[in-house]
Formats: sequence, C-alpha cells, structure tokens
Amino acid sequence: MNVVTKVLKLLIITFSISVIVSCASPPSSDPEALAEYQKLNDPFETANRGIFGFNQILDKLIIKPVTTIYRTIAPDVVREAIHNFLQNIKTPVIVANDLLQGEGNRAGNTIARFFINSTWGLLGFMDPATEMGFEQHEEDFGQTLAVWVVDEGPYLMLPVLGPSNPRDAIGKLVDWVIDPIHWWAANTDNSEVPLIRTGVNGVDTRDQLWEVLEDIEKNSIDPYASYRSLYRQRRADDINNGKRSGSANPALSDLDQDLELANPDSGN
Amino acid sequence: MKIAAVTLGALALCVLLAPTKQIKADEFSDGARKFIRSVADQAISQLTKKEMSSKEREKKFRLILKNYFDVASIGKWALGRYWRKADNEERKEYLILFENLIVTTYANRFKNYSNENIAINKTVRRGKMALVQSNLERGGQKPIRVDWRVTFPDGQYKIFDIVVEGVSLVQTQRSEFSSVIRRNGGKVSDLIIALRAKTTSSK
Repeated sequence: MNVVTKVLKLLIITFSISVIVSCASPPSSDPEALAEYQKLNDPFETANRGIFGFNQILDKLIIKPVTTIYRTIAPDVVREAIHNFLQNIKTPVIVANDLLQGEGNRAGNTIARFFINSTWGLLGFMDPATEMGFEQHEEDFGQTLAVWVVDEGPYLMLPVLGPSNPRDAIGKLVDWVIDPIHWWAANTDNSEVPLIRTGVNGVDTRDQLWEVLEDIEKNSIDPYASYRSLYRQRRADDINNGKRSGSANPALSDLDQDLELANPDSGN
Repeated sequence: MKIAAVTLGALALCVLLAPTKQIKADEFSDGARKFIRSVADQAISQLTKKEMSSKEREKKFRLILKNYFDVASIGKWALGRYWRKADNEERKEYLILFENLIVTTYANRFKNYSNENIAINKTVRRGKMALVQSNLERGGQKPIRVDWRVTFPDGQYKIFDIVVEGVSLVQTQRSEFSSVIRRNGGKVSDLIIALRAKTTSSK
C-alpha cells in the first residue's frame, strides 16, 4: 500500500505541474471556432499532449518490448488462458457495478460465467461460458457514474493509464478500492499481489490491443486525436451496453444532423 | 344506407392507402440489407485471397470503394465546416487524397481474413439512412458488431459509414482531420500536406 501511495502521489504531482504550466486558451475571435472548442471539451489539450508523448515513450521503451517478448514466447493458447484468468477475477467488480446500475440480468450473467469458468473452466483459465451463451461484458464504476447521469468532464490523458476523464478516473480509483482481491492482499500482507496483477493486466491489455494500436501508429496523421475520438466512442458504447440506438451515441446523431452538409446540391 | 356505403367505402379506401408509406420504408430497409449482403459477399470473394499482391488488392478494393461507397460525401463530411473554407483546387485535391488514404489504410486488412462470417440482423430506418446491423462471427470468440449506414443518393444504394463496436470510422476520421486543421491555424492546406505525406510514405 505504501509503494502504491507513493507512486500515485508522484503521478498526481507530475500531472498537476503539467496542467498548471500549460493550459490551452480558447479561440475568442471566431464564434464557430469557439463552439467547436467547447464541443471538443479538451481544455487541457496542451498538457494532455505532453503526457501522451510521455506515454508513447514509455510504451516504446518498456511496454511494447515486454509485450513483444510475451507474444513471442507464449503460444496463443497460453496467452488466451492468461487473458481468461484475468477476466474471471474481475468478476466481483463487474457484478458490483452491474447491480449498482440496476442491471440484474447482466449481474446474473456475470455470476453464471464465474461459476462455469471457475469450475469447468479450470479456475478461469478456460472460457466455456461464452460458448454456452454467456457472453462476457465489462463494467466499471466510471460506467456506473455515467448511468447515474454524471457528466464525463474534460478529456484527460493520464500518465501510464492513458485516455480518461475525471469521471472515469474516479471510477478507476473506486474499482481499485472495492476490489476484494486488494482487501485480501492488504489483510494478509501480500501487497505485491495487486501490483503483479496490475503489471500482468497491462501486458495482457497491450497484447489484446496490439493490432488496433499498430493500425493507429501506421495510419493516423494525429494519433492523439485518434485516441481521443476512439476512447470517447468506445466509452459511449460501453455505457450504453452495446445497444445500437443511434440517438444515444452522440457521434452518430451528429452524423444524421450534418448529412445536409454532404449534400452536393446544398451549396455548402 | 347510402351514408353507410359511402362511409364504408371511405374506410376501405383508408385501409388500402394507409400502409403505402409503411411499405416504402420497409422496401428501402430491405433493399439496403440486400445491398450490404452483396457488398460483403463481393468483398470477401475478391479481396481475401492470401496470394494476391498488395497492388492487386488495392486495385480491387478501390473499385469496390468507388462503386459502393459515397466517397465524395464521406470526404466532405470528414472535413466538416472546413469544406466551406477550402477553395475548389483544395477540395479537388483533398478528395483524391482522401480516397487514397482509405485505400492505403483499409485495403490490405483483408489479407488477414480467415473465414469470418458476416451475419446480417436487423435493418433500422434513421431519417434518410438505413442502419444495417450485422455481426462479424469469429469461431469461438465473441462476435464483433458491425453496423452499416446506407444512403440512397441518385437512385443507387451507397455506404456512408461503418460503425464497429460503436466506433464510427467516419466520425473518427473527421475528429482526426479537424484536429490537424485546427492545430495549424485553421488552414486546410496543412491537412492536404499531411495527407500527401501519409499516402506516399505508405506505398
């Protein structure tokens, strides 16, 4: 707990300094530009880009090489097994958030998955539950806050953790605190366990996102903007539990409104 | 007796006329669904052979793109309010570069296709567009949601956007472009320079 507190403090200080040192100023002259700036909701863009740069260096020097070795040494089956295990032990946090959002069915689904995978799935290393029709879904406290109608707030690029916003960052903190694994670790003097688990989670996540990140690296002319857009759209989709109502996803409803713009006859 | 007959007649007429609007909407959605089915099948049959060279794949992809996607409209929408600020020369060059960007970005992804199946589910009408919902099924893993936005400009179905797991490709592109333009003082020309660099370096 002591090491974690120290690291968190360091990260918060680093972040605060970069925010104080560089805050983007809104374009005051052009009303259209101002409207766009406000809609973008990234007032800390300069500081965020700085942190993004730091994250990319961290990735290049440490995370990507480690994950590359992982992908080379561990066969597909092993990587999948580790991924399944990590997913399985997230169950308590997912169930808690399912319930907090009033999603009884989804909570039941998650609990069913846990029992099936922990037993037939050999302690969670296998995932027979999916084939039996119990699909995996993610839930976290950030999503719960969103369901409770908490606005996401300005875009934040967190050191190491990546794209976020005040609501989701608080969500991550709450999930960390309520996770029973961390309680157990604290009470039985096993404080390295959460750290090891976080490390393995990091590599696993990097592995899962490998193709997507390679894609952005290769094809994007502004990776920072790409990540921002992708993060927000994926969060909206997760919060909405993947339901396809176009109006709930602001990105899509924008599209419907603006289609007039694309009409070649409208003189725009 | 006469009044009753007239009333009945009027009612009958209403019953006959009422569903017409409904039928038209369903026809559109139905047509959109069949259109996506055929595009998906064509893409799979033409673009996924492993032995094909990159050049060959890009050529075939470009053909499918031009035939079935409303590239000009997508390009215009991706530029957003900056389209108005671009002059004719810039607009022309931008649209060419935009098409090239799509080709270099997406064509060779079909190389990694491994017998995934596209299962089309519902089709929903959204104003002028139809949203065709499908799932990309990959063996034992969770299927990926892929939605297609279909418009009907000039009497032909065209794809306007593809939404994968809630991520609109067109929206993402637009965010990227507007960020580049904004950071360069609102000049479209700087985006064009960046696009030129990106599409030539990937060759």
